[in-house]
Amino acid sequence: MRILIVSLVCLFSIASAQEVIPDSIDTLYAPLDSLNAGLDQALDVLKMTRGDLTFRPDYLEPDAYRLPAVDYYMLKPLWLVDYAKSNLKYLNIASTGELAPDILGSRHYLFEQQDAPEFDKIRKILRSDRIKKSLPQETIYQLGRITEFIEKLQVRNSYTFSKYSKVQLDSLRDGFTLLLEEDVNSEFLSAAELDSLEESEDIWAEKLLVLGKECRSIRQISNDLDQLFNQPVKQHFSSSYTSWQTEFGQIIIGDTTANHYSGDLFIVIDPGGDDDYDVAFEGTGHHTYIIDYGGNDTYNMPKNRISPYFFGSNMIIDYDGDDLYNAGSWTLGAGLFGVSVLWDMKGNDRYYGDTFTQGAGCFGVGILRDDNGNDNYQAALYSQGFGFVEGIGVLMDNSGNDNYFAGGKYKDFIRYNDHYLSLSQGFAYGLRPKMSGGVGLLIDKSGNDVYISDIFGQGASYWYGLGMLADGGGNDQYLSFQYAQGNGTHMSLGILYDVSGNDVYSAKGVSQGCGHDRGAGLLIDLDGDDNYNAYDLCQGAGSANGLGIIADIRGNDAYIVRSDKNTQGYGNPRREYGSIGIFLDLGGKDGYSGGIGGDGRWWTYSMWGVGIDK
Amino acid sequence: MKTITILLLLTSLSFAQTEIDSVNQIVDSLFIRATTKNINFQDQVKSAKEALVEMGESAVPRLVQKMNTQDARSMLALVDIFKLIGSPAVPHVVEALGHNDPFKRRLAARTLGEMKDSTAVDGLLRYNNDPDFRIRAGVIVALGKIGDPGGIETAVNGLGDQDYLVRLDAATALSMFADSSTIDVLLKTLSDPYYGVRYKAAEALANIGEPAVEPVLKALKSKNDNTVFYLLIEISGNLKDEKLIQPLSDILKTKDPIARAVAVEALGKFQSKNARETIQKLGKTETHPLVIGKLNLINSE
Repeated sequence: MRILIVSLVCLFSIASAQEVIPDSIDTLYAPLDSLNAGLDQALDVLKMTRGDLTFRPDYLEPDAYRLPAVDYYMLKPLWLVDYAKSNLKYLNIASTGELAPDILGSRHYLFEQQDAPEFDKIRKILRSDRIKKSLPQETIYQLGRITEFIEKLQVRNSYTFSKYSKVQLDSLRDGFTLLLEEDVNSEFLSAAELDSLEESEDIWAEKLLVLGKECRSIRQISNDLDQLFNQPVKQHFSSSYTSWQTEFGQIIIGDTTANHYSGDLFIVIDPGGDDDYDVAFEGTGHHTYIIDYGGNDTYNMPKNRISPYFFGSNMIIDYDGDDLYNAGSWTLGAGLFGVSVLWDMKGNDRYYGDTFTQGAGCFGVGILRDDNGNDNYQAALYSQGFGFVEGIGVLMDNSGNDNYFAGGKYKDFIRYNDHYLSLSQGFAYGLRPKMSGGVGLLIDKSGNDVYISDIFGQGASYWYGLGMLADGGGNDQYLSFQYAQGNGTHMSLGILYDVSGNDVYSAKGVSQGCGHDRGAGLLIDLDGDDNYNAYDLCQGAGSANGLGIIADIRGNDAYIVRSDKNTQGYGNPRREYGSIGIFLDLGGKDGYSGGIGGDGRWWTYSMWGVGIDK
Repeated sequence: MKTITILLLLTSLSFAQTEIDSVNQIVDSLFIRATTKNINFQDQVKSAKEALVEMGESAVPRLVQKMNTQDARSMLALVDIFKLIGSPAVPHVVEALGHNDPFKRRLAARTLGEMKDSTAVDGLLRYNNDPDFRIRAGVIVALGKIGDPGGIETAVNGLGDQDYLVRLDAATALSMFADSSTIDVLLKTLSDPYYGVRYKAAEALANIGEPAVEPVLKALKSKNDNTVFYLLIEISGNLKDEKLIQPLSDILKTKDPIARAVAVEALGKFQSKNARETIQKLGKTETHPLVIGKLNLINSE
């Protein structure tokens, strides 16, 4: 699985682009030159060099799940800016590209390719005269490439998981579900009960720490995924309703009427019409592949406590229409010990989910891609570009004015009586201190977007993970409460990167370019007249040996903070040395209220903090 | 479902608890309360810690068992409790330095530093060449916090360690020792590749005080890279020796605004009229916002 994740991270970030990027787009990134110059000036003031902005991967012994990409950017956190830029320019789930040797180094994980066993029953169906005679060419083609992909996945799964006994597989399934699920009633437990809960999770984590190690040898699924998506889209077709029952579930070729598909849907290819999908499976290890060519469709995904796609895979490609995606947890681009892709190409869509959804990965890859339309994304937890252990989660929205909401269900009762956990929207999470986190990316390329989260979100991370929210353009609004908007907490990395537009950022604290406990948090806004509003420990704040950078390169901006003691270029001492906070505004006529900053001023008021407004 | 799992676990634990010594039960129960993160139970934290301290040495063996924790809050609580229990706990914690659990060993070194009990020095010195860089660093900084001169040589040697965190803690220890025999090595350390080490070496030189004045003056006049130069200016301000006013005043005439800003800050720490006048004079001609900011800060004091 590690190769899959590393491959995808690198593939997405550095890969040679299949899309041709017009030169003019590069002018959008011209402010980056100013950023580099400004950073060097700030470092001079701090009596530092770029080499000082580094975090080592081994403050504690690295666990087996540390992603090379995380280690790489821990050592060079400033390079996150280039990584964000690359993701906005090149990220494309249908691109193959070259793996970047500077990221992978010697870590090209190559595992023995296994000979593919027969995928007998499905192949027989596909080769049958009934199929050949009754179905249009497009359908046969789609069926062929889907089954080819699933076959490869099955081979790898069987190779990987054959090393486990049934009890061990059950432990993986139950354990990771337990670690990821939350209970709204937990807030009512006593201190002793909460301690027991923590202890039980700790015991599970200890067990899973050992069990998970054999799950990293799945090979080159990324390339297979690319092949699956890289095929040219064929012409629309018409067909009559046909179905088969297989050991994997139903294969259905629909027609252009409004169909209601329900039950154990394995493969559904629908040529059009407003369709309803009610997917239901018992157990785990299932696969669902739906290709819908048009219509305003409703997808009701399984809401089992344990994901039916655990150890399995699912994919939805919806070509057109205003669609509604109803899910609980574990679906809508959620790869849990498997692969999951949801690709919606057109229409104003609504996505509803609970936990681990809308682009989430754990020992796997989850991708939600929406190409067009004004979309609504709503979830509670671990969602919208979320990477957990050995996982990558990507939510990529290419255009439209979109709304993202994450939170509102599971109270953060440890810290607050009136705030909710989000851990979403370009967020990576690891199990401290046992398992490093993954990579969570929320990439929105254009449109006037609204992002709302509460505790942990919006380009943030916790425990050796990498979280990124990159927004390419539009007048955007970012609202969160804590640990957000470019925040790395406990040895991890977070970046919020906004290329252009007049944006509004609002948070309480540990946000807006804040690194805490040897973590790095960056908020980079290249252009536009922006408003930044926060309370404390924010806007270029380093805490407990962290690194926080806020950099706004162009535009007439406003900065409001409540505290002038730990904001706008602030670094506090911890473990006998410093945390670094850098505030940069490199152009425009700016307004300040509440903090130490001022237009046209340079300032230092803590030993390891600096602010520059030009 | 999660609740069921927890209940099962609680049930299994309850059988085991019948075998547990009553003291350990009390320590465990108090420790849970002393380390709770939940805001609703914060009122229990202080009293639970106090009760554990009240138990004194009888609680120590069980608390030492908990030192393999990887939870930051538990670590902090253990350090606090051992500090308050004091010397009866020292031999137990020293023993933990030799344990095979790396987390227990690191926490033991950290705890001994916070306890500042000189009876721990010999025990700490046994591990100053430990293969684990975290132990080497922890031992050195603990020696510095204890302040026993026997640790100076170990700290000086630590400045040559390949690992920057060890060098950082070595410079930290030397800052605490503030021993004039370390001036030369500290001056060299101002060019360490890691900022934490450089800053701590600068702090150490300032802490040494008068014996460091001439060597710093000499270094200030020699050609250094900018980072070292800025640090020497800062050290000069912290040393506050009259001999340093003129060289600092000369820096105000240079073209480097960062050097001027650091020099203004340094001169601002002097109480002398001469230094104040020099700063005020600069105020009439200075245009760089960083320097102006420093001047305004001094004028507002």
